[in-house]
Amino acid sequence: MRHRMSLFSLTAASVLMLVPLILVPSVSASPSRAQAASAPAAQGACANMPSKPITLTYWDATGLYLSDQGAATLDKEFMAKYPNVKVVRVPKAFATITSTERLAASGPNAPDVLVTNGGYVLLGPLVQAGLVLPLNKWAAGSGWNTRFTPPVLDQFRFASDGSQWGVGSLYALPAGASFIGLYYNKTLLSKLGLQVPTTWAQFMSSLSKAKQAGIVPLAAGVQDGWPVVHMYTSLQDDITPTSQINAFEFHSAHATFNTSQNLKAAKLAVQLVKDGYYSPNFLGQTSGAAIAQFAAGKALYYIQGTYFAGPIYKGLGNNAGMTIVPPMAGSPYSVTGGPGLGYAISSKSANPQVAACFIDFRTGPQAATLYVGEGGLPAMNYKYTGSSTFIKSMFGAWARASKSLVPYLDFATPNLLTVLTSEIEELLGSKITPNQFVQQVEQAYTQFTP
Amino acid sequence: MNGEVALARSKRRAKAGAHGEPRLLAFAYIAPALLALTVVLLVPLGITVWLSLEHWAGVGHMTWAGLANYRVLLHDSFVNAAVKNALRLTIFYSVFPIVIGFLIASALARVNARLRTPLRALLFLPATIAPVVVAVGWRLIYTPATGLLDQVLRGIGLSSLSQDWLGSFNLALPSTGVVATWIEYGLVMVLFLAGIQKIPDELYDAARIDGAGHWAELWHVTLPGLRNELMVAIVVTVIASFRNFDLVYNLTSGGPGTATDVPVLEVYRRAFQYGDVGSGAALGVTIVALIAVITLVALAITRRWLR
Amino acid sequence: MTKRELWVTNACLTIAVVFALAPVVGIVLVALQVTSPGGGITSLTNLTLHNFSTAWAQGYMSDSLRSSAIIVAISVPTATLCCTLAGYAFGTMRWPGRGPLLGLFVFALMIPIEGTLIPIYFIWRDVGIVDTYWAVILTEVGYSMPFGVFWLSQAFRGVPRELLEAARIDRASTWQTFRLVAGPMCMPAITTLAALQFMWVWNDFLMPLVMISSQGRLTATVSLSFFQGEYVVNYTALAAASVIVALPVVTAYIFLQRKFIAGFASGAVKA
Repeated sequence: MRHRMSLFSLTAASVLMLVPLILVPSVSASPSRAQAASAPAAQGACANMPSKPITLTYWDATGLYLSDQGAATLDKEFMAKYPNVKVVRVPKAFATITSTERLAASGPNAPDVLVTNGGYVLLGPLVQAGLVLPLNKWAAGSGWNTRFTPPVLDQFRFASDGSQWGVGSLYALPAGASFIGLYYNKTLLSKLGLQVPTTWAQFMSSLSKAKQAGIVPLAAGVQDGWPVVHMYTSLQDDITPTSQINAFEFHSAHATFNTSQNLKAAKLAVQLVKDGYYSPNFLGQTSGAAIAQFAAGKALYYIQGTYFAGPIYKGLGNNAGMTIVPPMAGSPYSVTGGPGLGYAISSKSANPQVAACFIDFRTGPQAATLYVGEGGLPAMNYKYTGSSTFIKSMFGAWARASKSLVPYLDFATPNLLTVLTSEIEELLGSKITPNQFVQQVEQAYTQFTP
Repeated sequence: MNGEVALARSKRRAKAGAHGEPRLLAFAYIAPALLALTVVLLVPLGITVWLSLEHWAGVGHMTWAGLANYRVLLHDSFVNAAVKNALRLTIFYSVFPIVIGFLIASALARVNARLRTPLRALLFLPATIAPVVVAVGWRLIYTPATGLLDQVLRGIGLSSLSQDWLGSFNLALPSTGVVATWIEYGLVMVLFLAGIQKIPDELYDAARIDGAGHWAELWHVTLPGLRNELMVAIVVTVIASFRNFDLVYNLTSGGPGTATDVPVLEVYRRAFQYGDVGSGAALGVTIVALIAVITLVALAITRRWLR
Repeated sequence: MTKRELWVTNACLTIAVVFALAPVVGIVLVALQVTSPGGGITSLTNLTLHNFSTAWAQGYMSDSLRSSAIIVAISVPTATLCCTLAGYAFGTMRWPGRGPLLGLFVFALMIPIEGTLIPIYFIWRDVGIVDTYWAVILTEVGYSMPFGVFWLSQAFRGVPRELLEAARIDRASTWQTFRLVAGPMCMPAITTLAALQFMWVWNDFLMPLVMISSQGRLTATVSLSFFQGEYVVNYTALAAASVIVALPVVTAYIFLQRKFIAGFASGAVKA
C-alpha cells in the first residue's frame, strides 16, 4: 500500500478526534519534476545575466572547506561583480545536512543552491525526487568538462531516476577536493637515512627502520570513528584496480566486496597492527591527537586525507611532504579521493541561471586560489605556482592520484560508514578474522539496493 | 438562612462539582497542558508504532512493511550488540548507583545537619551537569597515556594500571559505565536521604536495644524503610539507562566496533542518518517495551525481597 | 555513634566527595592550563584564563549561548504556567474523569523520547518550524508536562481545604482563588519546578540536535558537541568550552540547591 502522508494534518486530526490514525491526502513534499534542459548549445553560465535585484541563498557546510572568512570574501567578490545579486550563505554543520537537506529542498523555502556529496545518501535521493537541475545546459559553454578531471566529475553524475551513481547527467560542481595520501616527515626520513618511498618494498622497510629507531612509524588515531576507514582503504587501494572499486561504489552488475584483493588487504591491515607500526593506543585516541602527534614531529608517516593538511603544515611547515601510498610492484592501484561537497541548483530556484553563474564562480580559478591560500586542495585542475615545497608535493601527489581516483568507500550505501567503522575497528583489534570482516561487509552491502 | 435556600444552594453545589465550580472551567485550566502533552508525547507515541510498520525514507512515499522492520532488527548485529550493551549498562546505571546512593545516604544521615547540607550539595553536583559536558570532560580524562586519569595513576605510582580506556574492546563499556554511575548515584542518594529522614527514630532505638550494630541497622531498619524510594529509584534509573544518547554519542560514538553501541544510538542512526525511518521507529517501540519489561521485573523482584 | 562507625562514615563520605568532585576539578584545571598537549595538567600554578576567550571565539559560543538562552526564556515560563494551571485544577477541583486524566500524565512519565522523537521531528517539519527555535521550544514544553503537572498537582493538593472554602465563601472566583490563595501558597513548588525545567531544557541534547542544523542557531550543548568533533585538537579550549556550557545551570544550582534537591527527592523525571 503506497500513500503520502502529512504528519501535521495527522496530528491535528488525532487531537481533535482523540483517535491516533487517520489517513489524509498529503499536503507536503510533492516534488516537481525537473525541467528537461533544452536550451541552445554552448551557453556560458554567466552570459546574459538578469539585471533585476535578486537574492541568492546557498547552503554551505561549515568546517569542511573554506573558513567563514574565506567564504565571506568570495561572496563579496561575486556581489561586486554582479551588484544586483545579494548572496546569502546558510552555513550548516555537515552532520545535520544529511538529515535535513532533502526536506528543506522539497519545502517552500528551498535555497537556490544546495550542497551535497555524491552517492546514495544525498545526491541520489535529490535526483530521484527531481529536486536538483542537471547542469548539462551550461557545462560546455562554461568549460566545466575540461575544468575538472573525469573521475572528479563522475562522482556528481547520476542516472535521472536516481538508480545509478556515476553515470548520466552532471548535477553538482565541487569547489574543493581531497584524497588519501601519505604524509611524511622529511627530517625524520633523513635522520633514518631514507628517501621518500616510491615502492611498497621501500615503504615497508622504512616502517621497520623507524620502529627500530623508536620512532612511531605510522601516526594513527581513530576514537572519533570514521578515520579508521582509511586504515583499511589505503591498503585496499594499493592492490585493487579502479574498475573493481568503482563497480562496488556504483553498484554495477556483479559488484561484490568478497574479492581476493579485499581479503588480502584485510590480512595486511591486521599484520601492520601486529607489527606495532601504528601509534600505541590508536583505538583510544582521536584523529586530532594523531594529527598533533605527527605535526609535532613524533611520527614518520601519517596516512590520511588532504583535509588535514592545514594543521600539519602549521606544525611542520615545509618539513612535511605528501605523496601517494606507494603501489606494490606490478599491481594496479587506486587512490581514494574525489571532490568534496558540490554545489547543486535546486529545481525550485527562481533564478537557476544566476545560481549557475554563482556555482561557476565558486568552483573556478579565483575561488581556487583563495582556497589554496587557506591550505586547501581545489577540485579544478589547478597549477600551483607558489614556493611551498609541502604544497607542491601535495599537488604533485594529487596529479598522480586523480588519474586513479575512486570515491570514498563508505559512499556505496547509506549505512556503510557506520558498518565499515565498526568492522574495521574489530578487524584491527583482532575481534574478527579477515574472512569474517569481508563476509560481514559484503552482507551489509548486499542489503542495500539503490 | 432558611432551609429552602440552603437546600437549593447545596443542590447547585452538587451539580457544579464538589467545590462549586463548573466542570468546564476545570478543563480550561487543564487544556494547555493537555494539548502540549497530547501533541508532543501521546500522538507521536502512537505514530511511532504506526511508522514502525512502514518503509519510509523520511521524504517521498511510504510502503507497508508489516513486521518486516522488526524482523530485520532481530537479525541485525548492531542492534543485537546494542541491546546486550544496554542490559549490561543497567548495572552501571541502576545497581551501582543504588548501592552507592544507599551507602552515602545512610552515611550522610548520621552527619550533623550543618555539615549535611553542603555535603549533599557537593555530592549531587555531577547530576546537574549536562550529559554532553560530562561526556566531553570524561573523554578528555580517559585520553590514553596523557589524559588526566593516566596522569593521576602515574602520579600515585600505579602507571602499570594505565589502559586505553575508551579504545579497548573490553574496557570501553565499563569505562562508559563508570561515567554513568558518576551521573546517577546523586539522584538515588537524594531520594534515599529524604526517605531515611522519614524513618521514625523509635525503630532505630528498638534495634539498638536489641543489640543491632551498624550494618544490622542498615539491613533491618533503613533498607525496609526505603521500600518506596527504592521502587522509584529502580524505575528512574532503568529508564535512564536507555536514555543515554547524549553520553554515548559524545563519549565513544558507540565504538570501538560495537562495544558501546546502545539502542537509542541505533534509533538515531536509522531514522536520521540512513534514511530508514521505519526501522528506527521499530527500534524505538522495542526500547519502550524493554524499559517496561525490565522495570516491572525489577519492581517485582524488589517487592518480593522486601516483603 | 561509636568511634569506629564515625571513622567509617567519614571515610565513606570523603571517598564519595573525591569521586564526585575530582573530575570536575580536573577539567576546570585543564581549562586553566597555559598548554596541554596531551589533555592532562602540565602545571598547577601557571594558569591562565585565555582558553575561555579562545573557546568563546572558536566555539561560536555567543551564538549558541544566546540560542539556548532564548529557548529557555520562552519554554520554561510557558511550561511552568501550563503546569501550574493544570496542577491547580487537578489539585483543588474535583470532577468526573479527574483521576484518569491525571493518570494519563503520570503514565506519560514513563514514555521515553525514543518513542516520540521521530514523529515529532516530521510533524514540525510539515508545519515548517524545523530549524527554528520554535521546534525546540514547543517540544520542551511538551516534555515538561508529565512531571510538572504531577508535581504541582501534589503541591496544590496540599493547600488546606479550609482556605479554599473560605475563599469561596468570600465569593472569590476560581481565578481569584488561584491568584490570591492557592498560587502564592504553592510558590515554592512552582519555583522548584521552574528551576528543574531550566536545567532540563538547557542540558538537552538529542532533540535540539535533530531539530536545529543552522550554524547560528545551534544550542550550547549541540555546539559543544560539534566543537569536540573538529579536526584540530585543542584540549584546553575544549575544557574551557565545557565549563562555559555547564556554568549557567551549575551556578543556578549553587544558589538554589535546596530547590533542585527537593525536586529530585520527590522523584523528578523528565520525559
